[in-house]
Amino acid sequence: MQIIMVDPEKCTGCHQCELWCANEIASESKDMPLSFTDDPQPVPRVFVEGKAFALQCRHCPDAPCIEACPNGTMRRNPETGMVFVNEPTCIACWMCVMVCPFGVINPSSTMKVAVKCDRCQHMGFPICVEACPTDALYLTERKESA
Amino acid sequence: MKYIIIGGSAAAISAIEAIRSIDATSKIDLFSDESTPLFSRVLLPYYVAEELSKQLLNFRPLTFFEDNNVNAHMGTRIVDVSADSKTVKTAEGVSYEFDRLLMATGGNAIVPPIPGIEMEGVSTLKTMEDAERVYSMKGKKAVVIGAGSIGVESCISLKRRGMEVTLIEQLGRVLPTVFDDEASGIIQRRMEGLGIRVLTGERANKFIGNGHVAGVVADSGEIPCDMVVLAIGVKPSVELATKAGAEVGELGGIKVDDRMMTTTHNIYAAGDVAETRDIASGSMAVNAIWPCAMEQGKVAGLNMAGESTVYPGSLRTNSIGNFIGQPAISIGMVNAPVEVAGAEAGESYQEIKRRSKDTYRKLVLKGDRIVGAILVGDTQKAGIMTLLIKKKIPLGEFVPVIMGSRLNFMDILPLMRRYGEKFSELEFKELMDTGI
Repeated sequence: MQIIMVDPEKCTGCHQCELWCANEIASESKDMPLSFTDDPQPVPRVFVEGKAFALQCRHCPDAPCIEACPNGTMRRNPETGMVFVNEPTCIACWMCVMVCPFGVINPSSTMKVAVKCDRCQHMGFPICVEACPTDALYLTERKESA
Repeated sequence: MKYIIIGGSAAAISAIEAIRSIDATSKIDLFSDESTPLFSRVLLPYYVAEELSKQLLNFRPLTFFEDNNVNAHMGTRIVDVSADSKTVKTAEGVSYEFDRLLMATGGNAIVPPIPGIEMEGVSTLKTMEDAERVYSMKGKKAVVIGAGSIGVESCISLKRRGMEVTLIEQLGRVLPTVFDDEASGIIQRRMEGLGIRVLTGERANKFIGNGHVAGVVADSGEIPCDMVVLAIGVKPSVELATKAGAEVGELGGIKVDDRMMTTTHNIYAAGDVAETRDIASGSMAVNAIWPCAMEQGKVAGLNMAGESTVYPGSLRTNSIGNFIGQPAISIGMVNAPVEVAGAEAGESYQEIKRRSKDTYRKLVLKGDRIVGAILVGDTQKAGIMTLLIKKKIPLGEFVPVIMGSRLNFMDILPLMRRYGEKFSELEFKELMDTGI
């Protein structure tokens, strides 16, 4: 399964990944910079942390969020292996927020559902990787453990 | 290999998934005394509030048993277990053999001996039958007894359905085992803001009425009502364990070793019925929480199927979601113990709090590690706290970072590197698998 990695040498902390994620995935208008004025403001699913490091959902093989979700909203796509939030059944209980060790699951701006990176499941290629101007973000095959 | 699972909720389902991840062919029989399969008990208050239909209560698709090749006997109560003959017997008198047995029997709702409790209009809220009963009660004034998670959520559900609601709690604050005075105070004020009357430090002494409940007599006086929800708590259902000769612990749960096996060989226990070691306090506890049940079920299932897995202990985590309009999360031991007699020499407790108008954050430290946290309002990244508590990571100079509102994963990466040996190889790899 492919995961998104960051090359810390190349990440400049420019936040382009965040902006494009919010615009393409979370906003209604998908029209930058108009989308910044959307109400509620779109929430990105990738976060530039510390000085310069873009972090998003790791789609853990052993995902604590799936275990903590009380009604099967957090689930894994059996074909791609990606973990995603099935929004129609999300009851905003925040159990997933409570157990994610990376802190990459957040309440949506309306506080009605949990949001996190879903690897642009309806788009075919992750927008953050595409948007990164220094190629700091890249896709690579996850090394299976021995 | 014949597997039998008694119970059909979180621990049972998680165990099935674990067994099937290793053993796709052996026979698995599941017995549940509830007829409704695969529903999440945690969500019953949402059903009562008319916010979730029955189908949306399911935590796995209804084809789960078929997909996993499990013979599910719903609505079938097991009445006897024999460890010698390795059989279980149903209420209909049919016997089934097992090689490995999992007791995931959960808990029974506590029904206190209050005079008048048998009257109509009084119900617990544990089973689907309870939920349907409460749902169809045609009351206008409800009294909820017990301010635990189920009690608080029931109050809000009933209020949302337009009823007048009074909450009675014996201890001095709402959610007494989940939050501290300050956080409970914030939540109580929110509830009162919604129009719920909250009485703490009071007992329900008597129910009055003529066949159907018409009032509750509390310490401060009589409260007229036409329905009562009992949310006092649950007690582990250990009757079958006792019949099988498995020992029950001091807290009333089934004793298990670190592979979730009871004191009777080949019989395992997991979920609300099991007594495990609490990671935060170091003492034994019955942590009747959904994620604990899922984790314990998984560990039990793996061990039953032959993959030796150690259970690291349970951690009590609670989340009050969008219910009261403000998120609140509680992890581990949230009040430093009054008596520190059990503490090792030289270990001290510290409570660090930060309060603003809409948010509250508290850490409880034992020596240099976090044993508990409360986050109200600003609950983002709470999972990082859970990680630090679970793995018992000493904080050193990182305390201000953890308390800060800009806490993020990158900030604690140096800490995790420093204490890499506290993680298993697989866990460490996963945590570091970000590019660093």
